[in-house]
Amino acid sequence: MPFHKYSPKIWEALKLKQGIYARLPKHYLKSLEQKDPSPVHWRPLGVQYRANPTTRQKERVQDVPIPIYYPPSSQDGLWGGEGWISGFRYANNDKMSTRLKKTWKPQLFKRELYSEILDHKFTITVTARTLDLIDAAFGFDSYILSTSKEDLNSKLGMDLKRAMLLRLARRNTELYPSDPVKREKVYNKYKQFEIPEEEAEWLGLSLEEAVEKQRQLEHKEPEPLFKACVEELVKELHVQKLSEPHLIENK
Amino acid sequence: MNMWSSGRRVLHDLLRQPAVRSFSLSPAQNTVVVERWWQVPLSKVGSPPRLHPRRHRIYKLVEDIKHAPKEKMELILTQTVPKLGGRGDTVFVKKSVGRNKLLLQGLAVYPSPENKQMFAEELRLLREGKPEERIQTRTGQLTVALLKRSKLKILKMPSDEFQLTKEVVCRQFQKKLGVVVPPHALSLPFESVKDSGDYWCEVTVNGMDTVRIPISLVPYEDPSASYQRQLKTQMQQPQATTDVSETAAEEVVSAAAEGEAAVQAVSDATVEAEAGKDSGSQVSEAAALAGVSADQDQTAASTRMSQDTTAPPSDSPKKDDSK
Repeated sequence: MPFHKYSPKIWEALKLKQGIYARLPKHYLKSLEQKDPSPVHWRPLGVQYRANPTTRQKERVQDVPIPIYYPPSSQDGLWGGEGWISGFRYANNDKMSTRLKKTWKPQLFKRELYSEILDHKFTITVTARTLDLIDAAFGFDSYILSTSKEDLNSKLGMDLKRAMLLRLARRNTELYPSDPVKREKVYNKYKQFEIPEEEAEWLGLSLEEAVEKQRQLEHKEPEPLFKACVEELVKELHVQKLSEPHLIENK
Repeated sequence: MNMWSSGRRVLHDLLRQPAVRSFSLSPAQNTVVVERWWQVPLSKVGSPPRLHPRRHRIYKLVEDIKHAPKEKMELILTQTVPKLGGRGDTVFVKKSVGRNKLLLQGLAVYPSPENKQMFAEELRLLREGKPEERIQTRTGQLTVALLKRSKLKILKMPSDEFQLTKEVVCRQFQKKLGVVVPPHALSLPFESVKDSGDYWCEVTVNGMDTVRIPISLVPYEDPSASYQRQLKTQMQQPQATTDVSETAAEEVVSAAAEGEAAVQAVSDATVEAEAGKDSGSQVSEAAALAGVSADQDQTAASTRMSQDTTAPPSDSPKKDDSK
């Protein structure tokens, strides 16, 4: 007889379908699914089939990503998809020589980046690649809003994205409250990224944070039993009063 | 089939663009790019490839982009920046300069499609819009400043039908000052003149600012190098012995009359009085030439003096008239 009802491999997925996890919003659960980040440290082939270089025959090829380690400090900065590549190399690049351990780490800088929507200067650890990506996206805000969660690969990045989208959704109250001209200009620039406020609230939250948020939403103060008993008594008395025969005094 | 014949490295180089990109143009990103030494065996469709823990972890460095030559970034300026340009110019600068100075201080913006459209709109307004809406460009301001401190000197052509018209002034502007003035931007107070003297004209820059430039029309003088040298030697020779102011007039007159008979030197005094205006201008030029340092050619001066009859054509008719 099978040891478990369900295979342990699907226990994680099953856990998300019961209890409070099932009550989380659907768009949030969809965003939790893992997707592959775009290749950073390796060059993808991009095609499914190609001609073999030696035999010139058609063959099927697949992209095998290089496993990259993202240290916890990468979540506090914007590394632009870079991480540590730990593996081996051959000495003198020669297959027949010794195999040596090698770790490639990115070069980090602390830079001040200004966000137009949030009107604040953030000091973030970035890499040179991040700065290039910001230039390619024509702005720090555009970079954060247009990069997906997997490509950003950072909790700070997702928090910034959530803050920006919330501010855009609540633009009448929060976006440049004292400067309507600037507000219009900034809003028109980032209008294309706007999403509804309910979705923006849940964007980029970790599972624990989302569970806590849902719990807060569903939380109700426990009602004292006294009130319920009083109401019941009042109802009973009403019923009793109405069931007594109604005496009409004939005088 | 050259493409396939050189191996996987070439294929990797050719398919340099990554598979998924949010923005259309992504330049080479600053990263370490590695490649596996050993090929991973093909797995079935739908299942992930099986990786050997050591063999498939051996990597080879393909390139480290931080060692490649640094690329320049493109920005559009919003204000006049020294050594780079004025508002609306697209410049290529080093990334450090662009990020830490221009973008931070708001002197430039990224060349996104919206920004480019905005600057194209401004340029269009400059060309076609009403004069009130236009803003003077940086080059326009520089041109105005140049014109304010310049003066145009036009030499009359030796022919008699020489007239100072708009086209002549435009050409002189281009030749002497190197400023191209289209006829519609130039306004002269007169139609055409023939006499020498001082006049003025007005030039409108970009349809907005107008500058008044003085013109002085002077009689013809041979600008060829040989004649200038002659004048210079004539200036320098008598100066060694007598005063400058007296001999300046005398030797110019005497140089002109040398080819002719010595008897005519007597009438030079009368000639001097009549042609006072002309000689006055000639004296100023000769003095200027004498002030310029040049080689002294005493032996050649004698040969040049024989050429005096042909060299100053304006002098001989005037001398003839006076006689």
